[in-house]
Amino acid sequence: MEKRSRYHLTMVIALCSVFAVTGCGKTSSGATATESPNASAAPTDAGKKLDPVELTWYYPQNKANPDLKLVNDEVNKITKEKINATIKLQPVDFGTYEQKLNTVVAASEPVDIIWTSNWLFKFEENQKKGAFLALDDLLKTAGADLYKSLQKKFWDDASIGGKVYAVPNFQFSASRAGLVIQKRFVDKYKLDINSIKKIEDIEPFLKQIKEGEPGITPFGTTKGFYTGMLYGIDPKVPVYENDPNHKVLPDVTKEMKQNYALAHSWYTKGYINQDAATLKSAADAYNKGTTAVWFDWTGKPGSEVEFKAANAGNDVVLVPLSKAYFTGAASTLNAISRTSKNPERAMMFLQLVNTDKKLYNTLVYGIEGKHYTKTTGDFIKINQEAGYFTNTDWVFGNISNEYLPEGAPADKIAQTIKMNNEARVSPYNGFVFNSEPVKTELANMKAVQDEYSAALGSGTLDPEKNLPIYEQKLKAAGADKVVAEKQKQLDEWLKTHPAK
Amino acid sequence: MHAQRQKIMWSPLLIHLLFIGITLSMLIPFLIVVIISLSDEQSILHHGFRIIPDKFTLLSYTYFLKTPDTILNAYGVTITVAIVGTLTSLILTSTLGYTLSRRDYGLQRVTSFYVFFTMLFNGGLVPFYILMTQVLHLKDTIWALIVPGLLSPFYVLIMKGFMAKIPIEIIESAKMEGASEWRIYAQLILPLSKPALATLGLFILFNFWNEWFNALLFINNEKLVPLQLLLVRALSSLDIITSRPEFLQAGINLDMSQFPKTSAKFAVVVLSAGPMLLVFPFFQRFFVQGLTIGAIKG
Repeated sequence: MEKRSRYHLTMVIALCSVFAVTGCGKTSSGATATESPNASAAPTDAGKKLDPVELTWYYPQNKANPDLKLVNDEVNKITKEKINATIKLQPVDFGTYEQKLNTVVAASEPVDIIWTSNWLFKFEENQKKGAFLALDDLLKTAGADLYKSLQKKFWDDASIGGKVYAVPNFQFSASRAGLVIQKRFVDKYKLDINSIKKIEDIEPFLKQIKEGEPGITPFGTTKGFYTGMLYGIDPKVPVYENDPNHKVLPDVTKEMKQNYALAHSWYTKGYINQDAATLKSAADAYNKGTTAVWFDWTGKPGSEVEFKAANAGNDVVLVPLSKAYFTGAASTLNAISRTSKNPERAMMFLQLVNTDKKLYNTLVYGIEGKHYTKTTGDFIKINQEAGYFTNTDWVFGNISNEYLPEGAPADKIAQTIKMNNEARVSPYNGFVFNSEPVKTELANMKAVQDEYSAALGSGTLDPEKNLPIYEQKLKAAGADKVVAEKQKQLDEWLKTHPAK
Repeated sequence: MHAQRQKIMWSPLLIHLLFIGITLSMLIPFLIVVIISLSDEQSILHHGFRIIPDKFTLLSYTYFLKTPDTILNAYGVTITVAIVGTLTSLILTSTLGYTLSRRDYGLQRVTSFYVFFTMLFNGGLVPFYILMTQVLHLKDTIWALIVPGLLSPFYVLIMKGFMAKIPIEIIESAKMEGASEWRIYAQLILPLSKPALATLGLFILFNFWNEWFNALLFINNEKLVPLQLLLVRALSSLDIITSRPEFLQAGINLDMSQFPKTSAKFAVVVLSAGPMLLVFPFFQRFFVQGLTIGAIKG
């Protein structure tokens, strides 16, 4: 008996000693992980001295930066002085951002600021889960200047159920469908780009390329070039612009038929790349530099330079085919987490990021003299190898505060602001379709769309023969029910929001 | 005489051919992986995968090895985690397995059920995350990579099964000689279990080597990023960079057609699997032994 208990005892000791070894981590980690001071609610009146706090900020990045710590310290110098807070930057790479943040939010980890959007770590979805704080009150006090800095239409996009849940990052928020044409061919064939008003107008040029330039694909695409923007259909809800009846259109519109027929005729004439239906992204079509013309959905100011970089260094010309539509600010937002211990200070920080030029540019470009150097005016030269390079100005805040990298058009920001202002704001801005009642139908339709839309859109399949089958299959999947549901919700919404 | 010789020649030849065939069918795919990781992107685009590409290039490796500090650091983290983790895990697995294998241990059934139960049910991701970050405070420490992989109930049961086959008489005779329980465990049981330790050790080593998900969840400090996470990240950002031209900022003259998109993926395989391929032969000897011992006792 005595032996037995000694045996137990030794086993217990053995296990304990192993855990004691592993437990070592606890003490060393405790120092860093739980350092954030649990300061009581920050004082509200500005006159009172602020207690020092540490904020944490999760946002996505392309890759880890070796000099992150240096930049973080530099950022802290600014924030310490202005709002007596330090910020702990927690960049996560794009590929794993969603997964990581889902866990962080589900586990109610104390975090202050979380980057969110309508495409990665989705804003609406996470707001419904209660991940974010409503900011209306804070925007009146700690963020008053920030609130003033953006137009109402931006705040509308960050609102759900009448409350603001995030701070939109001002960037190019419009979309203008157009064509991108390689400049060398424009010059060679003396193409008058002002004469191109409709997509059909480019066809003679494609013919010239096909005949005169062996080895060059006249028109490169992946899933085709159908968008309601080309045909006066509201991008927010598929309704003809200025339709007084607000009638929701079916999935296959007559414009789509027209567009698919055009694509097919181009495909059969050999203007479109043969592998169009199977390419993963449009970039695959054009980044070899052997594509003369391709379709661009956004028409972002300054994108000529980006396209040049992405297509073997060939200069391109942008030819807009539609007017600019306001696409909303929901593509990049910073929200304050429900678990934030200092929401007020987090708001002060967000205001600072969006208004303080030095702070913003430090986050985007790093430390002056080390990671970039100023050239003339607001232009800078980036040293990409220096250890800090983000390439994601739109993640941090208002891009109108940013320095311009060499080569960017000098009026990039002015143009961005101008287009954002001029872009047509959908009368349905603020309407959000609740897909819950037709979830099954949408899933079924997606399967059909995945099967057909790329092949039809790129012209690979003959629409004469296959569009009716496509329509039939969509119908069988429940397309009518989805349209009816959309119409019902839109009518409901219109009762309280008379469209302008 | 002649006829007989031919008879003897044929069957080994066939068997050799069969095994050469099997070996080749395993080696060639790997060889292709290595070759593609060295191929020029353009030649992959034009001709598909080939054993002998038109052009060799080290571009895909330079993409990953551009910043050697990072990758060396990641190798260091992974190796540390793998060694410390495997050794600790073997101690835990063998002690627990041994305890369960002793029929004279009073709580054997309860303990076995406890171990078995965790194999069927677990708390799920979120409680796991909360446990790790808010109870154990392991976030951003190297222990976050080691502790979750320390004890696998499945391996414990295998270990138990192996140790249960060691005749209890050996233990009893050792007791007669006056050996303590610790001494029996350390000097009798462990040496007798070498094949099981080596086999499970290899599995555990692989698990630690390939682990990236825990690192994704718990590691923010760049110094503690293990190799696999680094490569997962590199691949996912590669996808994003190449699919979203807006990420390429003005002023960068990166020629996308030369970008080693496909070959980089294969380079990842080589970089991550390479060291394990070197380790494997050293364990293999125990594999064979483990099987035979099992067979004799069977």
